[in-house]
Amino acid sequence: MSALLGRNSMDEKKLFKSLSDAILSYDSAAAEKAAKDAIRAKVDALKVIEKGLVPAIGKVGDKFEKMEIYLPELMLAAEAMKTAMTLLLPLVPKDKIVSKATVAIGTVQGDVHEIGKNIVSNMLMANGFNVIDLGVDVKTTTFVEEAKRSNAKIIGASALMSSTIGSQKDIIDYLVSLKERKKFAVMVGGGPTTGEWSDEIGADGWGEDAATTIKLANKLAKGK
Amino acid sequence: MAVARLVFLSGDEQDLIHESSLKSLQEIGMLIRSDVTLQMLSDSGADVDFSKMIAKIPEEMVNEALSKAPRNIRLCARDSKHDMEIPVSGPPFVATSGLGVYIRDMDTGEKKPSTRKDIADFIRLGDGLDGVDFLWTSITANEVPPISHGLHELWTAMQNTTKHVNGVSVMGASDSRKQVELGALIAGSEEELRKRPLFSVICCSIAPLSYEGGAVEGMVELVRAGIPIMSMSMSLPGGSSPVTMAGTISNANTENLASLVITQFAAPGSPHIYCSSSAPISMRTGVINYMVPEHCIIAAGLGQMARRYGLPSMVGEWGINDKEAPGIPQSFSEVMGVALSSMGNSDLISGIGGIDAVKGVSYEQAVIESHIWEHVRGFMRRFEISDETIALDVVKQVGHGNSFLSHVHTARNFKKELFFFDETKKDWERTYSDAMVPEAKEIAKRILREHEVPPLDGDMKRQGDEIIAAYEKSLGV
Repeated sequence: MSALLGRNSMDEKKLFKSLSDAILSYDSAAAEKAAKDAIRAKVDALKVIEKGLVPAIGKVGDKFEKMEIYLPELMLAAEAMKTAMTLLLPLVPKDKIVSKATVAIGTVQGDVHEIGKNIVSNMLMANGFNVIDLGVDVKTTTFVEEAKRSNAKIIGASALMSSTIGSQKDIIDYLVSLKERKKFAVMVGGGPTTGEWSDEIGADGWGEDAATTIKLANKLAKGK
Repeated sequence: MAVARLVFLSGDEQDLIHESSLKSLQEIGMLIRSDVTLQMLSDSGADVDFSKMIAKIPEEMVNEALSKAPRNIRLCARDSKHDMEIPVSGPPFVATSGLGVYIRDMDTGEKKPSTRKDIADFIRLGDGLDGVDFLWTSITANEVPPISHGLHELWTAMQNTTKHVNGVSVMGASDSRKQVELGALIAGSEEELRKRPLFSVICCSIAPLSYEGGAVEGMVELVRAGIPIMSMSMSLPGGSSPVTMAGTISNANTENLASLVITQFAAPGSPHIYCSSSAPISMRTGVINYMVPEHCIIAAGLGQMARRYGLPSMVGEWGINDKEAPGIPQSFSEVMGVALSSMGNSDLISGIGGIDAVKGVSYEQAVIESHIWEHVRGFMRRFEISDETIALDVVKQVGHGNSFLSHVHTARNFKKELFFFDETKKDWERTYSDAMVPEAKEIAKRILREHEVPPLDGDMKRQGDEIIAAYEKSLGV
């Protein structure tokens, strides 16, 4: 197969299109196949991402904004994107990887709700962020340690219970106690949280829902 | 006695839901993050994978749990005139909303993080409203240590109403133990509390099909003390359960049966209330969306399942406002679902006074919804269907083509058979220009000024405060 494809631009275009089509038809299996085809054909992985994946996920985002599609399609597109990226990213030289920022995200200690966090995690990824998903019931110290380890600019803390939102404050208090509050932007979200709560605990912003969280992350990526 | 009810599932459809739940419990199982609970289930016949923390529950255990569960429950109140016997044969009993994190100030409109003072006022308002039958603890005590917030909320609520209190927080076995001790103070002893449970507690599973360790261990501690629990499933179509109504009803039913197995094997015959708070998530934002028809469809289906099992239920919800400011910001079409959810076989309902998708509460909203519920309740009165009420003898006496207006039968019975709207409240419901808020504010202020709840006797308040303080000290907070 790879021998047949060759490396002329015509074939490259076909590869980019099949990747783009996979994203636009929300098809992870097709995205995986297209990414593997590109790797076999030895096309530059960064070029594949920039020409095949990025424009496609951009189109998906536009459709969502225009209410032509809803969250389920958006999530599936993000999954397809993630599948392809997992294969392609390791082939891109580290110094060439460009992401808006790294976000360390998780659901706080004592809380195992993950649906909302997963929506945001996927949408961040689809929007060009490098996402470190820490999962659920994440210890306060783990948020900070992992953020440091991955050189994250943003910490995202989700809490779905009125009894666990206090852990969002703990993260900020912990950063303050380490004298490292300014190193990270902290954004909070989840059912019982509000803008007032975010202000009260000194967070850098509140994500009311997935879409506003992405806007917030874009803002925070540029600096608080 | 006949009562108008919304029916959604046929008998065959109920059978299919039941069979699917059995299959789900047996083949998929429940993730339970508590070794002691898993051990108990394993000892009782469940197939438990301790490394994955998954219990697969056979049909025999479900049947045994169903046979042990009580069919009738009396939820008691400090003043026994407010006791509630469930299942109901007429309209459901309705509670306030919960558990929010802020209260909206009546004078400034400001959203304030709620404190015990706000809980006390909001609960006392509920105590003074005719449309409120029992009180959820409603809002969080934000100023206390998070680990003991549920105790403070329960204790504050119980001091400010003589109606039944429904707690919304279960942190773990030791926290539940303290809840029981607080209730026992007022009841007189733990034995008296068991006989007259003055409070009940909502224990949430986490959809799909899982239980957090503290929550499940706390639930077990409560049922062992005879405290009624509501096993609330939040199956949110497209989010935490299949997007289909059938899939959601099946999932919520499965979680309720799993909870029932846990309570009935931990404490056979303990009072267990079938419970759900399930509405779809918005396909635009991912946020829970209460103002949609599916919310009441799910409630109707689950109410039918509870009745099929003969279990009392809390599956419906009131609350006509998911915006931040009080009033009726929704269209008739949206509000319709809320009213109909009351007619779907639920014995208990929550939601009065809630705003902002349950994040907050508002005094004015509580007044508005209590008044509207007093009217909607009229649609669910009980009617006697008998030879006497069919009244063929009267028909014979009045004769062909004549009027019943002047017959004594009409004069004797019309006040019983026909509902009379409170004209002031009806006029008031039309005041859409200012969304009824100024009038509601006036009433809320009058109730808070004039309505007194008898304080707890003698030294009880100090003793309760000491229980909480000692508990906090033992935890080092």
